[in-house]
Amino acid sequence: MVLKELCNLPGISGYENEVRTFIRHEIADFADEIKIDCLGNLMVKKRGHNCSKHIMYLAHMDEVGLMVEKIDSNGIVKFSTVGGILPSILPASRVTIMGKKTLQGVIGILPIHLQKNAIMDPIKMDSLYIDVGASSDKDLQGSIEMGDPIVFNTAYEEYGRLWKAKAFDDRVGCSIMIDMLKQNITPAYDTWFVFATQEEVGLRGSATATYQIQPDFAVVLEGTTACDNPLVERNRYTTQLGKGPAISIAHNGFVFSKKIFDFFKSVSEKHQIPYQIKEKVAGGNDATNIGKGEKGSYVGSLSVPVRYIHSPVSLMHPEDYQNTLQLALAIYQENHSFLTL
Amino acid sequence: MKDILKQFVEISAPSGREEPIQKAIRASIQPYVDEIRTDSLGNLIAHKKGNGKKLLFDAHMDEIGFVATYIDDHGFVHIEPLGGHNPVNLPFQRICFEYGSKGTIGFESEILSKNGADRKEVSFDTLYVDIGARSKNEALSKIRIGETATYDSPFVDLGNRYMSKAMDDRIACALLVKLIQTLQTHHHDLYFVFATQEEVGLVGSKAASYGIEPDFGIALDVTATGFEDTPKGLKRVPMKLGAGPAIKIQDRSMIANHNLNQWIQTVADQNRIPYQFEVLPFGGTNGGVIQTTKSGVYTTCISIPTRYLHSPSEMVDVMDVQNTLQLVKAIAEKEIVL
Repeated sequence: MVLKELCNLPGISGYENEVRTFIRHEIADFADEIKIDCLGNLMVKKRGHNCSKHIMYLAHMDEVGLMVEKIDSNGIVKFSTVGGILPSILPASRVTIMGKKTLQGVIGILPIHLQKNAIMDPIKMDSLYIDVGASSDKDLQGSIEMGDPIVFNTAYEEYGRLWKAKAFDDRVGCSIMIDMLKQNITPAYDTWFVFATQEEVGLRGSATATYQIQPDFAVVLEGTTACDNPLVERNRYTTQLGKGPAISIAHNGFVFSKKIFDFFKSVSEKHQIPYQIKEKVAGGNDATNIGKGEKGSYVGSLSVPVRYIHSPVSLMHPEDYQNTLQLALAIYQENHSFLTL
Repeated sequence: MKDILKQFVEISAPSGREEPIQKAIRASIQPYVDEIRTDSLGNLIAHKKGNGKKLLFDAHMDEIGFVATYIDDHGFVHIEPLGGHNPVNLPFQRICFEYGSKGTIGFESEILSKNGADRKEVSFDTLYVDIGARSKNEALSKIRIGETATYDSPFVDLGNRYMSKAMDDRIACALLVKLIQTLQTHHHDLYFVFATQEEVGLVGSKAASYGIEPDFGIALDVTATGFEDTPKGLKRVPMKLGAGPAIKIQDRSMIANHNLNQWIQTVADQNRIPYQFEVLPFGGTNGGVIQTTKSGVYTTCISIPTRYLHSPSEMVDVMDVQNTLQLVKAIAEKEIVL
């Protein structure tokens, strides 16, 4: 498993190159064909027993992060968010700016002593900046510039019974797909593993990948919100850590086919793999694009629950990783009878 | 017309679970079309062969609904929306689940003690469904997680108006079925798309239209009414019941093709069919995705004015329904020249 290495790599939307290079190296020995398109999608083909259908597994390589917007004359770095991040979770986060040089910084904010209403006032992007220890913009010439990507400075570690890292969304999907490829199984149908770009800014990579592959059936492997924090009431949960892969019924802009929903459940039950059903329809992922792409295709979404998603630090459960991998592998080897109906 | 409409609106088929309505429509039109098929998204696509260019008529089969996601320890069912609901309108509505269980929507009453009669905090987090179960086990024996639901609200004939859930967009499904059944002559190569998942984001229509590559597209959908129609109605919405089908000028999903609209007006004038124009400052229809298919399609939308949209009591005018049928029939018979 290379989840640790994947999470530690920087790769905000549009800047997935280090992640792509790493994955390409990992799976090179197990691929029948490798393509990279102009949006940066890494597409890996596994020839099946039957080439009459095309199956696609997809996980996105990009993570949410920040980007240098402006360097003030006093050496303060102003930034914007890339993907959905609440400004209020950012103060005091440690970040790494991936410029010509790699710089460490901390997100600064007015000290509490000087804020009249620190608790009541929502934190806005305008009041946040990155302090890299420079005293003027001249100090930073030649090392960082506008447009440089910024990632959270969070190292993977094992944390009690959980795993902690940035970017579980969606390196966990990438890691599961790498593990699937390394099993070197010949699938029933020709199968493409797509490591997609730019999901977090609007499901972009998956759109061009879908156009090229035109899958008959696709499975999206994701990291999804686990809203099971101790202070949240049970009926507000979305998914829970440790309860297995989350199967989606519906999400923002798409309702999954009952055939696929029932197929996932029956495969889990057949192999005695625990699963849970995602209890909220808020949020979305690449499955929306794939489902309504071209002439439309069957698509399903399997997700690993991730607590504190889209923040500098997220947590996930090792058993959820194993169970999601087992379920994905079982689906991979299953006869997709609904495709021939 | 009334019988088909009553049959269609009383079928429960929310976004993503359109099979029951799909089967009913298929059975009503199969003998009248040359080809009929469903695709992977569940769209029903019927083809009536003709000359030359392809004209696509679209109506969506899905209605807004709910899905059960969690059953709590006391047997209350927690739901999530399928399509656009305003949660404030939901308390005490009756709903019916896919396999027949019924219930009413309740909400956590303590939000009222904080805010008086203010229901702003009514949301899908504070709503639940009471199916009359005495325990979690009883609820689990009646409802499966993932089961969908729709309003439990039968068709009512009010004389000059009809009222029901799911007028959006079964009224258009019924109109297209009636058109297919009664069309004697037609010019173009006609495609009829009964689309899925419109209410969650124009999903089915996008894929269906991609496969067909039409030259002309006409979506049939419902539209809101405004200040001329109901007491202190919406100020920016001029449409009203009884003034005829509404020819779409624009909404949030598209600006309709002006030339096609002018041609439709000519047809309506020649046949003395009344019509009104529609400018809708919110919402969209499948017209928006048909228009941008591949290298583009001449597209508009003809709307049936409807009161109380997305409620259990959507109301249409009988004359509007008849006039819309006359208009689409006149359109289908002629050659479109732009």
